[in-house]
Amino acid sequence: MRTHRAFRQLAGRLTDVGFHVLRFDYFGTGDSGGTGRDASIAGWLEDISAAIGEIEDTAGVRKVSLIGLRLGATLAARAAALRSDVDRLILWNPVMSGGDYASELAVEATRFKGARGGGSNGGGLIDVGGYPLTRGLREELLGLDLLALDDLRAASVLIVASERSESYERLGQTWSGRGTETAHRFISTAVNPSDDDEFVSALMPAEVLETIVDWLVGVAR
Amino acid sequence: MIREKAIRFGSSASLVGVVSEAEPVDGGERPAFLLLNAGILHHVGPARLHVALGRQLAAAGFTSLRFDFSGIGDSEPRRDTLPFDESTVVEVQEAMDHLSRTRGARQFVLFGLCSGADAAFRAAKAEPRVVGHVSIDGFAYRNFAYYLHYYGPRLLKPRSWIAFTRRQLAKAGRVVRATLGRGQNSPTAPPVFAREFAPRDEVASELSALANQGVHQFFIYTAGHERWYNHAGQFHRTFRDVDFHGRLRVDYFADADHTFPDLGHQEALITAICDWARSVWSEGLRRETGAEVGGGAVASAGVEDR
Repeated sequence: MRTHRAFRQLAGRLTDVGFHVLRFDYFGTGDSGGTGRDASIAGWLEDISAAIGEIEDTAGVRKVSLIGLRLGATLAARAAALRSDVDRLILWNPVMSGGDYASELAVEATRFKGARGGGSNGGGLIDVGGYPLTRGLREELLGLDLLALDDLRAASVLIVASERSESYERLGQTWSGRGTETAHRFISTAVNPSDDDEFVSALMPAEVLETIVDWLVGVAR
Repeated sequence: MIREKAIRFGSSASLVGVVSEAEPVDGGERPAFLLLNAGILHHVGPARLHVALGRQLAAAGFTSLRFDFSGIGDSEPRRDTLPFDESTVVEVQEAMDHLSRTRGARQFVLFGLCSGADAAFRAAKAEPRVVGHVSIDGFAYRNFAYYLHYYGPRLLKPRSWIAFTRRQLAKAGRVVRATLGRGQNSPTAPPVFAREFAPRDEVASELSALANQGVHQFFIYTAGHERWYNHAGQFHRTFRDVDFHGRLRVDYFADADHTFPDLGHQEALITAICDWARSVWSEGLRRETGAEVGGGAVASAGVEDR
């Protein structure tokens, strides 16, 4: 939800320079069908495949680039590893470890519970500020590890980070070592669309958006 | 499964929204719901509130349209210079026009949270096709009972006195720094949103006018609005001089935060709204003459009890 504005602006900038763009909501999120309780990582990877098929049909292209933020970036990398038509990956503040991410969400849930909301609803479901994190989804998250991803298959990868992280640097080095052209950009920004406290802010990380567009244009040449 | 359709509408086809189609139910024609943006959050709402509400309303027989005002979410910015207070009314009317043209909707209920509640009220005043509105954490006015509820518990807690002292010292520090020309606001600091409510008497007059036109009004307040509203009954005391003709419901969610970031609270909210809609319009649209029409009316007192 909070990344909607950033992605809409990014999509506009990309179409301005000639790219076809498809933004979509995973099952159980946004405008898509289903509830959060029915969502799964496996289902979301199928959604990415469906989206790729849709834009290939609609735009008449054979290769696509995937852009993901946080868990979306991790899923993009997983999805790319399963296909031969993902040419480029842009991973914006990717979640490196699904287990660590699940722990972060559990802490986030506690914060909401302390402020009149969220917390655990029983039955293994954790209510993260109105978003359900089911036991099944948590177990799937435990299986996500970007460093363990063997074969990316994408030709080029851009890792964009808003904070310095040894994990991101190690990731870039690992993938470069495996033959994937990998670029790593650190962009310090006071605005983070993933940050819950920023969700009412209209400010956007313009430099990050510009970097992504410039990189795609540069790689496309 | 509820059928939904993404649409573009408006004079420039620049507004974007999603229609949730009503399931066929007995009881005749029902008003359509328009779900307005909460702040700058796009049309899915906080924690998908608008999505869940739209679908539950559709299941209850009410078509709904959740959409983005210009410049928010997926809608394009306006190309004119109409102020937001006025453009939101125009765009609500365009949403109504679209549903009238495409689905034969003749009357509407507006739903809004926070700034959305303000927009809903403005449009309800301006548009005779509005037969109801649901406003969450809209205008509110502190009264004596408010201050009693606010200060009473705090006076008994030492922690409150320490916090008060800290705030006063911090305030003094800001004044000193400002005087010395230091501590300028960071250019990237989040903007502070402040809401101002019209004078109470003015609002009372507007509420009365809507009530006389037969508009059903459902006000919901949460603990997250405690800067303005902090106890059940506050609305009734504030507007005891207004005759709502039995078309008023007020609920106070004493445990819920402003955007309902809790699955249980959100579900309770949606249930309350759908139950209210069914109770008012289960027999379809009625001609409202300003007099109480039998069946489906909601009592104006004693409902605020959450």
